[in-house]
Amino acid sequence: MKFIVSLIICPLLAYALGLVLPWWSVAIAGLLTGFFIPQNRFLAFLSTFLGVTMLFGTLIFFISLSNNHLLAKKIGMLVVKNNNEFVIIAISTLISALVAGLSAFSGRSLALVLKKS
Amino acid sequence: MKYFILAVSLVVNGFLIYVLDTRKFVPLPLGKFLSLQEGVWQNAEPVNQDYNASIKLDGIDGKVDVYFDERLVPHVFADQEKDAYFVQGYLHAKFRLWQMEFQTHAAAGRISEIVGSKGIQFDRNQRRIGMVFAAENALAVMEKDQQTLTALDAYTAGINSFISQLNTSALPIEYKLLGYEPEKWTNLKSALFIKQMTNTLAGYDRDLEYTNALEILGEEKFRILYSDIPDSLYPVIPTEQPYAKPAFALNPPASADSLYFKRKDSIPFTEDYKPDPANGSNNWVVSGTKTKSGKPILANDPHLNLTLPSIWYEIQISTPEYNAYGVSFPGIPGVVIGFNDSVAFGFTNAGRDVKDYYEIQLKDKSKQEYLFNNQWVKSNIRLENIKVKDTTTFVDTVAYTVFGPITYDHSFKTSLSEEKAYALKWVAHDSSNILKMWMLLNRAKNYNDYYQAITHFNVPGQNMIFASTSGDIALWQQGTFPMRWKDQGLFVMPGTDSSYMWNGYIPMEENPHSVNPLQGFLSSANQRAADTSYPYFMPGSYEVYRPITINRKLAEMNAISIADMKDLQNNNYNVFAEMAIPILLNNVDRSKLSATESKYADIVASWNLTNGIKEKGPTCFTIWWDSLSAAILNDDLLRNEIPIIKPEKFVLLEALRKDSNFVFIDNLGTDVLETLRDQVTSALQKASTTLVELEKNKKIEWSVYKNTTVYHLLKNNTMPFAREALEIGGGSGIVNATMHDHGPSWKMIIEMETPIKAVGVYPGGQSGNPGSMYYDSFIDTWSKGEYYTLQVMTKQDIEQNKFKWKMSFSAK
Repeated sequence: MKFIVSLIICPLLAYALGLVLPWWSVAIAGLLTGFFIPQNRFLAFLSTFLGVTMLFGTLIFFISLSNNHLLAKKIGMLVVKNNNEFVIIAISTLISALVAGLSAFSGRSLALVLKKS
Repeated sequence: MKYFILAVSLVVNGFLIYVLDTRKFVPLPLGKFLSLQEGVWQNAEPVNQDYNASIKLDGIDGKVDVYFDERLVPHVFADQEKDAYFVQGYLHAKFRLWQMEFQTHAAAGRISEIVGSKGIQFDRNQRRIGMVFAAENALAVMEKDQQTLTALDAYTAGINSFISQLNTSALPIEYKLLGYEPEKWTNLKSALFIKQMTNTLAGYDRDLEYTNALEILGEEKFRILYSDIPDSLYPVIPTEQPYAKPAFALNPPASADSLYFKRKDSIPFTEDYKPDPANGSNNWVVSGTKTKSGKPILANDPHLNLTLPSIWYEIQISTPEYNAYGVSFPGIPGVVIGFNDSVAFGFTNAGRDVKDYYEIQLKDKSKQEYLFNNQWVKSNIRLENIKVKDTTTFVDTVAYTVFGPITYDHSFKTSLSEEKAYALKWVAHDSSNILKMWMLLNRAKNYNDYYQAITHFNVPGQNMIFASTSGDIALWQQGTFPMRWKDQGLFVMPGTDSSYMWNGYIPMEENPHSVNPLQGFLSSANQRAADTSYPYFMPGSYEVYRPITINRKLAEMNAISIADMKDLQNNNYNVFAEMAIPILLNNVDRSKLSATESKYADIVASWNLTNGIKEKGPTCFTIWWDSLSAAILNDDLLRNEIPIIKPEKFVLLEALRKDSNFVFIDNLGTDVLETLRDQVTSALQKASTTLVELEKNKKIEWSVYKNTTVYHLLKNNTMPFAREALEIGGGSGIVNATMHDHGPSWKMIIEMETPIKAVGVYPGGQSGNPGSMYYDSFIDTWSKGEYYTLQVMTKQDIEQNKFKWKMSFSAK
């Protein structure tokens, strides 16, 4: 249950913060989710990672789809010399997901430390 | 353990975010750049983007409605002219902001602010040729004139109203790529844009190389190789009446023989960032007597570097004063090439030399004083602060003399001694209000209005073509051109006294021009404007062959339609090859050729002389001729790494046509006396090795060999934003002047009926955003040689909803 809550809350929070803050606000979302939702560190990582992957991945995919992947192909060539749109969509998604997941891991670790002391 | 895990996770986490947010480890801050909400995904415009909008802004007085057609061309209807420029500024910024700012940063020598220290040399060069100085001089005059001041202020305000509501996530991709943000636009930036264009078109100069060539060859041989009046000259202005005698005779100073023509030392460097000498254009106009409709037809295609985003932005501007349609420059207000309800206008480059260097004697390395008329005169020192990204500001000291800025001195070219320097005298530095010309052309109703408009223009000198619905046609070579004694300014001139200075400018009335000529047509294609009977010395960089095809065709054409003009703009006939091939084929010694080499000679022999897409002839011919030219000339010209420039292509061709014993044929590096036959044969043998290689790689067909590419402005750094390998013919010296990355940047044909019929196309698209389908949407049409109908939108069209989107602007 906590896993599911974390999986849903983190990406929504990340998206909301992203409307007003720079891209790294996804880390704040991860940190907060990790800190407040008590579960195993690794599950904190996994839930937020998957949550952000699903929401951000879907959003990026639909942005790119409505663009006929025109830009995705160009950016793919520019950044990783690969013009398959799914490659650059995946990289973009995984970057946010990884930052969210690691931040949740850190948040959980912090919560555990504070709880102990 | 818990503390340890926390510490490690925080460090890893923090480091990851840092890496993804900086350019220190990878060239791009990938976290930011690929972010959903802040990065490039925000630039991925839906292909069914809805451009409808109702926009309320400060700075606009009346109401402006903009109707976009399906090509995203805006048709601007403004209650007040001033508001039209405001909205034009807004639209330029909305669709082309990055290029406008980048190009004006480049003009001002501010590229280092964006790219860091690798931009310093470029920036110093821009400052040292006086680009900002020139723009300031121009702006002072533009702001003194109420009409241009009002237009500029409104245009600038429009751009800034767009910039001020722009948030980081909506920045054009290039800002995200390079990591900076736009600053406010100013009127000075518009002046800088004009000066950048001026440098592109009137900045090509060969004084330094000619000085060296003179020293290497001596005067007699120099005159043979660097003649600028070809036998096959077809001047811009038909010589129907003899030119009047010049206002007064000009003679070289008494010292010229010793100090100018017999200089003894060479100049160990050359200009950096030379503009492309191929920057040119075609334009022509035929009178109603030669057309099917009985009305004049005007055509124009300016040849520039082919770039994305395009240098042009198509627009219709309709105000109570006028209704103009054509292409504009993102960077200045108004329509630059186009037409209104009564007249059409177009331009080609005059190519005349309006830029000279004077050798200056400095007192010492402080550059504070220089010798002039036997006295030490104080220079004006201008400190140029070049801001450099990630490091300290570079301060360059530029001394201004009575001639102009000292471009080259010891601090810029270390091969110079501390006392020797070269100052630049350039018409581009003069004050003038060339924007006024476009303000007046946009509302011109007849020839007189056109004439009044062009009097405001000074530089870059242009061949200004004109047609009206009332049936007049005209062409003026307009600009301020220095009055020179013969050969003045071909070489670096002594700058220690006033005797070598320019003697003012040729009066406008004496500029070559023609109105309603008997022949019924006028054309220009960057050739010398007048034949030798023109009373002034007019050096320059001129095209020889394009005008021959154009004039041959125009002379024989009758009952002309727009379709005929399209064919002419797309014409791939190679006149140069027509004249050169007999020399190659008559002199090649077949007995010395291998089967492969002979095959290439056969390809050239059976070629139809058109540079078509699939032809192999143009590739074989071009490489063969270039190889011959190098074999004949290089041994005479290349000495001890002294910078030199190749003679014009026509020189060798015309020399060999007249004289198969041309003195330069023999290779000075060998003991035997080479004949033309030897050289032509070995040139083919040399060319064959290249051709075999090309054939192996399937690159021998002309369009593959030429590989026409429309580069993004950041060139090789952003190849995915470019369009490569376009299938298109043409080339240098051909009416369809499409080369590798250079060619017709806008093609337009206008028939002066009422209402006017017009077609046009440019190799780009209305949006500058690589993430928009309108980024390169015209390119395929352009490379196929096809055109769009330029639809002048009317009130009825609007009532009948013949538009795709509507953007309405009003005051807040």
